[in-house]
Amino acid sequence: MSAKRLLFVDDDRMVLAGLRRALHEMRESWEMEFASSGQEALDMLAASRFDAVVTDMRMPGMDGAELLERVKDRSPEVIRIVLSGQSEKDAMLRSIAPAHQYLAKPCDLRELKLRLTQAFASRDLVHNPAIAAAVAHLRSIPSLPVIYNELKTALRSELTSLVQIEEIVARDVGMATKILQLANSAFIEVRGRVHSLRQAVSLIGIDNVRTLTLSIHIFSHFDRNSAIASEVASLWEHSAQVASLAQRITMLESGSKTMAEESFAAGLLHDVGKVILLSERRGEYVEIRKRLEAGAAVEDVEIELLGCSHAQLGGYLMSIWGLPTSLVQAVACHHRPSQAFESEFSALTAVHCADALVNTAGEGDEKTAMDMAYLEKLGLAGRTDAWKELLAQAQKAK
Amino acid sequence: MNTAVKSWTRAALKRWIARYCLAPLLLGLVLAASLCVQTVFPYGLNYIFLAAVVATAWFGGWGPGLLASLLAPVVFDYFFLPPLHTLDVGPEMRPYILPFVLSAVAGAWITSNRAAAKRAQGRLQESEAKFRRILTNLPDIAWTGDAEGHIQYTSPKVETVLGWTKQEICDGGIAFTMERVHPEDVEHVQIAADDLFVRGIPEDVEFRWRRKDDSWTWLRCRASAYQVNGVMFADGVLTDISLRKQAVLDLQAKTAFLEAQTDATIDGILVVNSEGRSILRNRRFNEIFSVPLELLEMQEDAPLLQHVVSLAKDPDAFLARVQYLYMHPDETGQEEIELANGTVLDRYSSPVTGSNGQHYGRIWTFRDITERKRNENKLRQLSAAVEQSPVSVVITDVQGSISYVNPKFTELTGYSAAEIQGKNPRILKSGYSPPEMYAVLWETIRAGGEWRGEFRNRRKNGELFWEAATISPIFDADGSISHFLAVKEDITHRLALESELRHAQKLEAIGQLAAGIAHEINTPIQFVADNLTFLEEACGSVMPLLESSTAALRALSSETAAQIDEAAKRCDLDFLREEVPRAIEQSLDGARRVATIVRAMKEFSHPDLTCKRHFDLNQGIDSTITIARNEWKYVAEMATDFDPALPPLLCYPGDVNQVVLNLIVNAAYAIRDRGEPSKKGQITVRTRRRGEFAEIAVSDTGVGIPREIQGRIFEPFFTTREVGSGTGQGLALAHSVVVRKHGGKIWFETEPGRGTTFFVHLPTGGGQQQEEK
Repeated sequence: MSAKRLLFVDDDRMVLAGLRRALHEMRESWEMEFASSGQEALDMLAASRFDAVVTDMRMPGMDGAELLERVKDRSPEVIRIVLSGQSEKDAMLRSIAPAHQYLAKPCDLRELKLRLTQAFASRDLVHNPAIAAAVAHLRSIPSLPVIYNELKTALRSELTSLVQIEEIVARDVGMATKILQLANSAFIEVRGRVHSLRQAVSLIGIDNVRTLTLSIHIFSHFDRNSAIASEVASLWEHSAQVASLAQRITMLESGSKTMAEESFAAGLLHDVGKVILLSERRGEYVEIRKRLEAGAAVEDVEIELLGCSHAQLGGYLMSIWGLPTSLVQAVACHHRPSQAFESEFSALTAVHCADALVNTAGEGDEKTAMDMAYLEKLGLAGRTDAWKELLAQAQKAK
Repeated sequence: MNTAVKSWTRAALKRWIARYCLAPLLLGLVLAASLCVQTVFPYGLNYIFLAAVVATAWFGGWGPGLLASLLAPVVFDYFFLPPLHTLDVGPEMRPYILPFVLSAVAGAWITSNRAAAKRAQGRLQESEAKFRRILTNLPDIAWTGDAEGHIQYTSPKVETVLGWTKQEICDGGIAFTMERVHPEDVEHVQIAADDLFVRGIPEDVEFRWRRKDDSWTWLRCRASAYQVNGVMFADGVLTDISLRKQAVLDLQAKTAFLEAQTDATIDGILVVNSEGRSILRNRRFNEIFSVPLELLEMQEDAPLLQHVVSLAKDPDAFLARVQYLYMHPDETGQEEIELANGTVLDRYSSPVTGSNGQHYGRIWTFRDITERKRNENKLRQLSAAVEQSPVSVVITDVQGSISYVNPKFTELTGYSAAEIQGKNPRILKSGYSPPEMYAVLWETIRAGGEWRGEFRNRRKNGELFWEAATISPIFDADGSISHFLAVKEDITHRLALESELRHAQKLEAIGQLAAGIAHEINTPIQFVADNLTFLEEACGSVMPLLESSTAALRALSSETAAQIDEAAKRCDLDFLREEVPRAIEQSLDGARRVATIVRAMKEFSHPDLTCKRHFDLNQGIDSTITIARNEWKYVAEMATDFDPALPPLLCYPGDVNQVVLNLIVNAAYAIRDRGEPSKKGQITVRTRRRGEFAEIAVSDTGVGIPREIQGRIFEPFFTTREVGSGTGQGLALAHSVVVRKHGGKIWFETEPGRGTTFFVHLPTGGGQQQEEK
């Protein structure tokens, strides 16, 4: 694996110098370049390939947001990160759109290193550069049109409560992903990462959600009448079921509400890779579906056709968007949990099992089995019946 | 007078002669004649005797006649004849007896005649006395006079009526009479006299005549004339008609007054008789009902009624009412009638009844009360406006005694209208407003000016409140001040809100400033920290190199070793080795601390005013303690005890931060107030989960809260600090935030001298929302 090339942009040379010195220890895995203006950065980007850009926001001439917009168009595969000292909310909201992640000065460089390392690692799993670029280019994951309109209507009313917004967001894969991205950005004053959707919505606040949705249009949606509308709908249905079941399983196994909420989020997002494919790579997606009907295993088909699985794709998106590692892992490994080297029950476990159970029970073509070796290792092999019971209850209740 | 006396004397003489001289004279003549006859005829004497008796009876009446007829035979017998009993009564004696018989018969006849005459005269006298009595008692005066104007007779009443005696009038003559006639009446009295005497027409004249006491009396004279021996006489009756005359005059005046009054009155008046026909209506009536000209001239009532009814707003009801009153003549009725043109009439109707209860008719009075009605309505509206006004209204007399307060005043101050009546508004004084202000106030309004200002007053229950007042004098019609009017608005809430708003604005400004400063500080901190990190790492890798290279050099030769030791000693290498990494580490720590403070400042000054958000209370309190450090670090140690299981709190983070800040600052003040600067106190901030609530407890070891102010510390503007050191809004604001905005609770436990703990309970679900199960 070749060294990653990073470009740091800041109008304050002292900051660049400090970063250069402090990140010197990364010299073996990172090649770092420094630019003191947006234009300089663009020139350098034109001259050579970069894996990531870390830029200040407020700079004379071209500001960070503009720079990132251009980077996004010219080199969509580049991971775009803002490292800004500003704290005015409006400016922050504006700069969120073109960036994958938003970090605040003063930033503990360990955090920066962690986020970048994770993003690079996920990307390395996506062997198809075109797809990697497409994912990095995404501003948003499309939502279900119905839910998107519901959210807009709800936000236009002054009477809408936070709970209602939470409830709407928790039904949509696209919104949920974006909301978690925002909640894990530095513009929310929170210490530590945000794993729960409910927490994410309330931390952002209804006003910000309103501004972001109605003015900045951070959410997008599928075409209502497209040929794949039914595919989208069934995918949403599946995600909701898995999310719900994963939450129940976690509640049953750990009793922790916090963890159950994390599992819910992971369950909702576990097929975000498929959503990306549906939206960006429709032809390949259709091809994959065809092959699945012929009885092939989903991961094999995807790797053969795309160079990566939908799980890896989802994990990649989530990692460059700065979502917490545990969520990224739960999504990226939901078909092959043992790859995560985890030794105890986690959101990953819940999502893996929930997905398998829902698939087995459903009429879909995708049949995945639970990784019994993995469960054996965690000492949970005997719990599967109880989980099945949970699913049965949920379906009955429905 | 002479004439009267003479004529009276003559008449009396005649009567005296007739009564006393005539009979004896005749008797003498008869006796003389009988003596002559005696001598001629022997028995002739008896006839003389007979004649004498007859004559005596004729003149003397029946008494002397009877006496004469009994005594005369005796006298004659004694003197002239043999006693009768001795006489032989034979036919030859008839000449003797016959005269006796005849004289007896004649005497009896005459006597009875005389008696009848006597009786007749008695009756006449009686009648005369009666008439005299009547004349005397008659209020009128009977008189007799001649054409010359001499009054010959007047009835005795004259003296009472005219004051003059009968004699004075009879003696006065024409001049006396005429000169007392009222000058205005002289002429027609003259004419009447002429008519009476010249033409003989009976007259009836009324005139004024001056009485003896110089007052005027009205007399009516009715007289008729007659002729005696070619001389005109007249007699008549004078009647005193003063009273009647006065009554007529009075009546005329009264009628004139009444007529004037009827026309001058502002009421329209219609009088109808018992048959229901209108007998009077005044000008005003015609005006009120705009009676057209043709109706005015018409004598019929029906068109008039129709016209009047047609003007009413509700003609049917009006007509029904009128008919009802005609059906019930004894009833009195009053009602308000609204005309179609908006005029309002007060209609009053009452029967006219005589003293004997007889029903004469009905009077209808119509008064135009449109203006009064309008004024009444206006007054009612104004009074309603004052009564229901959201501001309090107080009216005092010039001395300042309260004469009126509206309900809002009662609501605001707790004093009822009855108990505040007559009191001075100064009972509301709290003592917080300066006396000079009151002086200026009184000076201004006594000079007739309007004063505006703000009072801090006290309710009946002792609570303080602010009010904005406008006080102005009320003037009499003559321009002097009669009352003072105060219109006051409770602005406590507004001031509190303003204060809160100012506070929020201040926070917002601080927030903006903080954001700017944060940006300025964050950038250098970034590279300071980066460089320090680098130095730390560099140091970590250079030190072993230094060790190994010095060791290697030392090993080369003792000379080199000495040089190295010398150089090491010069730069105190051991110290450097020891202190450089520590210096870097501590600098990094300082940089992190600065970063923490900046972040805390940003977090604190990020008030989200419009909606509730989930908020990490522990983190928020931590930030708040950091930024308030300067407030407490010199007087107290700070200890925190956070509940790690506290769920995110749905709240207004900026407001909650503010509450915590106020409590911490108050705690620091309480400790400072102990006055022991050398001994640090202790502030402890705890968070706990209490069911559906998050509890914040801020304890201090300060002076505690004195019992007397414990009940008031949450009041707006209540402060114990000196002016300038606090707004007095801290706890009021905290109360407002916790209770009003979040539906939580705030209270305290205090022990004077030992310390205070403030407790805040905030619903974790934001007051309305509860956590999902």
